Parts: sequence; structure tokens; C-alpha cells
Amino acid sequence: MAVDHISFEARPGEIFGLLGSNGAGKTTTMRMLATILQPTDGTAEVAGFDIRRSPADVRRSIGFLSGDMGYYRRLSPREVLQIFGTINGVEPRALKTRIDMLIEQFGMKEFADGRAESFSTGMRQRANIARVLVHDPPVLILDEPTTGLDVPTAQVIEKFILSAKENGKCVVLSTHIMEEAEYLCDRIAVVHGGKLQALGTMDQLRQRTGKQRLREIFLELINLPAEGEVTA
Amino acid sequence: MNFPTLRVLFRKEMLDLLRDRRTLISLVIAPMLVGPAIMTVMNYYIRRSEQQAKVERYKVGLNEGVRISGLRDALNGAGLEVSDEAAPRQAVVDKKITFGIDVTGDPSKPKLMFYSDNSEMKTSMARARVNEAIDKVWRERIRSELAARNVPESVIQPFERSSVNVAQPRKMTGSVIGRIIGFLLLIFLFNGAMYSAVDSTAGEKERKTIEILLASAAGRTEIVAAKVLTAMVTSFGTTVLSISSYALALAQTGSRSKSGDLVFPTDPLTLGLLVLLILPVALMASCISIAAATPARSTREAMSYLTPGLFLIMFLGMFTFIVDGPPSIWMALIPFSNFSQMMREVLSGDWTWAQFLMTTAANLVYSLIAVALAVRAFRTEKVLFRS
Repeated sequence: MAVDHISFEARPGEIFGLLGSNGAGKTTTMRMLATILQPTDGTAEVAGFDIRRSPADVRRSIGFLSGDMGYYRRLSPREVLQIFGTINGVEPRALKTRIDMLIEQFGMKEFADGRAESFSTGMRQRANIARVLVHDPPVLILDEPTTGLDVPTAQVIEKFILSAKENGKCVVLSTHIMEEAEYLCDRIAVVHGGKLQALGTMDQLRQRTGKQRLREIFLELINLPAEGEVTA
Repeated sequence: MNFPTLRVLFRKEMLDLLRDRRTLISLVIAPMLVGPAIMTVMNYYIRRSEQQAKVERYKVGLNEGVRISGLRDALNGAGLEVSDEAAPRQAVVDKKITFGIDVTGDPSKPKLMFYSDNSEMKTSMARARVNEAIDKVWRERIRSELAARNVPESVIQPFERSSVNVAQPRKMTGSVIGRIIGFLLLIFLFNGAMYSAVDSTAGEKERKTIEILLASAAGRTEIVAAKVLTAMVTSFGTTVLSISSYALALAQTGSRSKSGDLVFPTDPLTLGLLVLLILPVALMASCISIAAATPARSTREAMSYLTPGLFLIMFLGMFTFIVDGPPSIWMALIPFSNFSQMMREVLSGDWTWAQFLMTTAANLVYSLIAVALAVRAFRTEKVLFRS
């Protein structure tokens, strides 16, 4: 079983981190929230929609991005935005305005109509972020979005996550990079072996483990038996 | 089914596919140029060798241990270059001559032995001329023997024989072209569907874009439907391009059947029936290809799943080479085989509505099963995220 009894709540205007080593069950959890995978038991609500009963409404309410996600190389960023905006139910007139705004916001003017075959990783990642935001979803599900990226491109992603929080979006971020979790997340859930080990703010996790750095906290927690949320 | 979403996804699939250079080469340029080009070049060489064969004087070595009157003249008259050879067999082996003849035995009843290297193409041409010359000598000899005995020539021809082919040119076309056209169409249909299906399933996995699609508001059924529709369009399109190119090449080279010109039916009913026969098979080819390619992790793996299937389909399509007549009830239920058989009957103009409807209905049912298989493959997580 990849994930067993994981339960948490993430709020609008919050960056909620899922921290765990490789194979901990982060990606499975994120895929279940994005309705790409179906849980064998249990359920979750995303933006007020049940992932089992209303998967299409859930998908319309989320922007999903993962670190090893590819890009439609034979299509231009504008075409990708047009396609996914329409699929996600944005009205044609509003979509045109939204696309122009995203192209401006992410500095994509020069390459918005070119095919992505020759794009750099940074250009592709900016186009991917724009695609995630094209339908202005209230929830962002980001599965290790900086994995494999160079430092400048990873910084673009970090800025995007922080601005999403400022705009009141609920961001669920999975990562195994301690520094990233510590810097970005308001609350962190530590997952290990498919089970939730602990959940709380950095201060709450420090208090529980008696450790200061997230790396130490994490190592301490994955040796502990599974428990529920840390209470302050 | 959300049709506006399906339309957008279909557009995305078509754009994605048609902007790939390999796709254009495999699905458009190759069918339009390669097949007809091969056909034209082959036709050119066949005609050239036929022309050469007509004018070439093949060398025949003759060892007349016993003389047959008129044989040498007849051989020369048949356009052969006759020379004396003491050992004609060895001369053929040494390639000094094309054909060797040993004449031995009793002068009243000579015995002829022919030597030839049957692995050489020109041997058959030389043999035809030798036979023609010997037949002439044979007939002349019988005629003179009969005359010497005062027996009329009619004794060796007690009655006359002649035959009339009652088949119309169109039926002959169906018989000649129809035997192979269904088989060829199956290859074209699957080739067109396979490429698109592999690119849009295993290819999407390879390019890591499948999750983008799965996390969008589009449902799995719409995603699969768009992929199937794209594969069907490429399957049908490639087939039409291929057949048109071959037909043009045939028209250019002026191909004929043994009994006359080939007549291709162009009336609306026949063309409509051909399209109605092809469409369910194009759908079936697309769905089978999507269902088989979806579990693959790479395009190469997907091709390795599909290639054995293509061989099986080719085998079923070859039934028209060995089975004559319209498909029986049972044959009409065998997928692909029923298609190639019905294709032959429609081209011959020798079909009935019952046969046509039975074949089409069977193929539609198989297509629906194939659609269900494709959707199921796309709904199975173990299949989609196989690592």
C-alpha cells in the first residue's frame, strides 16, 4: 500500500508541504488529490468537491505541476494555454485576455508563438506554470516542482509559489528538499512509509522533536512511530 | 461525452501529430511516393526485360547425333542462334549457351534431350522459342507422314475447341485486383492507425505529458475518444492517399489483366460501399492500436506489442488468396478476413446486401469491443503508470 490513512487540511492562502523521502507516498497522495489515481479506500475534498464523486470539478479547480512533467514540444505556449484553458472551462473572450496577461506576467512574449522544441528548461518551466494558472484555479498541487531544475529555474518556481500564496491560493507542495520546505511552507506534514508521521508549523515540529533544523527534525520523525497532528 | 472538450482534444492531437516530421514521412510522403515509385520502377524493368527478351537471340547448342530434318532451320526461324555443341550439357553449365539439345536414338524415332539452367530467368524465354520451333517440326513431320499414308489431316483433330470468358471486365478486375486489395488495405489501415496510436499514448508517456492531460478537466473517455478519432483519421487518410497513389501509378503504367483492361468501378454506390466497409475496420485498427500501445512505456515497446498483431491481421487478410466466392455466415464473422473477402465481392460487383450488412455489422460489433478495450486500458492505473 503506497498511502495509508493520511489525513490533513490545507487552507486558502497557505502553502502546505508534504515532506518525505523517495517512495514515501507523496506522489501517490498528490495524484489522488488531482484525481489521476483513485484511492482504494477513503476520500478527500478539494475546493469543496469530493475526489471520488466529482473528479471533473476537482480537476477544474486545481492546477497540477510536477517536476518531471514534460512539455508539448510540438505546440506553442499560446496553443497549449488555449487548449487547456478551453478544456478547463474558461470562456473564449476571458481566455484570450487571461492568456495575454500570463504571457506578459511570465515574460513569454518572445517565445509565446514558437514551438517548444528549441526552448530552454527555464522557458519550458515558465510556460508550464502559465498552463497551470490559465484557468485561475483556487488550489495548486505541486509535486516536487523543482526536482532536476537548475538554481535560477528553481527560483522562478519558488517565486511563483509565493505569489500564489499572496493571491490567496491554497498550495499543496510535495518535496524532499528540506531547505525548500523550510523556506516556503506554512505547515509541513512529514510522510514516511505511506503514513503521516507528524504535521505542524516549523515551531510545532521543533517543539515536538527538540531539534532546530528541518533535516534533523525529519530524521528524528521518520524514526518515530506514526502519530497524528502535533498539538501546540 | 463532452463534445466541445472532445473537439479541443482532437485538435490538440492532430496538431501534435502533424507537426512531427517523422509522422509526415511515415503517413503522407511514404504512402504517396514510395509504393508507387517502387511499382513504377518495377514495371519499367519488367517491360524493358520483356522488350529485350523479344529481340534477344538466345544461344542454343545442338548435338545432332541423329539428324531431324528442318530442326535447325526451325530453331533459326524462332530467333535462336544455333551452334554445334558436342557436349551441350557442359556448355549450359559453363554458360556458353542458354539451351542445349541432344538428338540421339533411332533415325526413325529420334530422342531429344534438353539441357537448361532453370535458375536463370532467360531460360524460360529460350525454352518457349525452342518449344515453338520443335512443335513446328513435329506438326510438319506428322503432316508428311499422314500424306505419305493418304490419311486426311482431320484425323488428328477430331473436333474443334474454343472458349468464351463470360465474366464482365469489372468482375475480372475484382478477381485480379480484389484478391490483393483487401490485404493491402488492411496493411495501410493498420500502418496509419499504429503510428498515431503509438505517438499519442506511449509517445505521451515518453515525453512525460500524459499527466498534464490526466490532470485537466477532460474525462478519460474524451481523452481516449480524441486519440481514437485521430488514429482513425490518419488510418483512413493514409489508406486513401496510398490507394490513390497506387491507382495513379497503375493508370500511368497501363496495367492490364490477362483478359483485357482492368475496370475500376467509380459509381457512387460502389464507392460508398467501399467507404462503409473501410470505416469500421479503421475504427477497429485505431482502438486495437490504442489499447495495445497504452501499457507500453516507450514507443519502441509499443511497436514491439503491435508488430505481432499486424502479422496476425495480415494472415487473416490473406484468406482471399485461397478462398473463393462471397463470405459464408461463419467467414463473415472472422474479423479482417471478412473485410478482404467482401472488398473483393464489392469490386467484382458480385455482392448482396445480406453479405454486406452481415460483414459490416460484425465489424461494427468488434469495433465497439475494441473501443471498450481502449477506454479500459486508459482507466487502469497499473497500465497508465507502469514503471
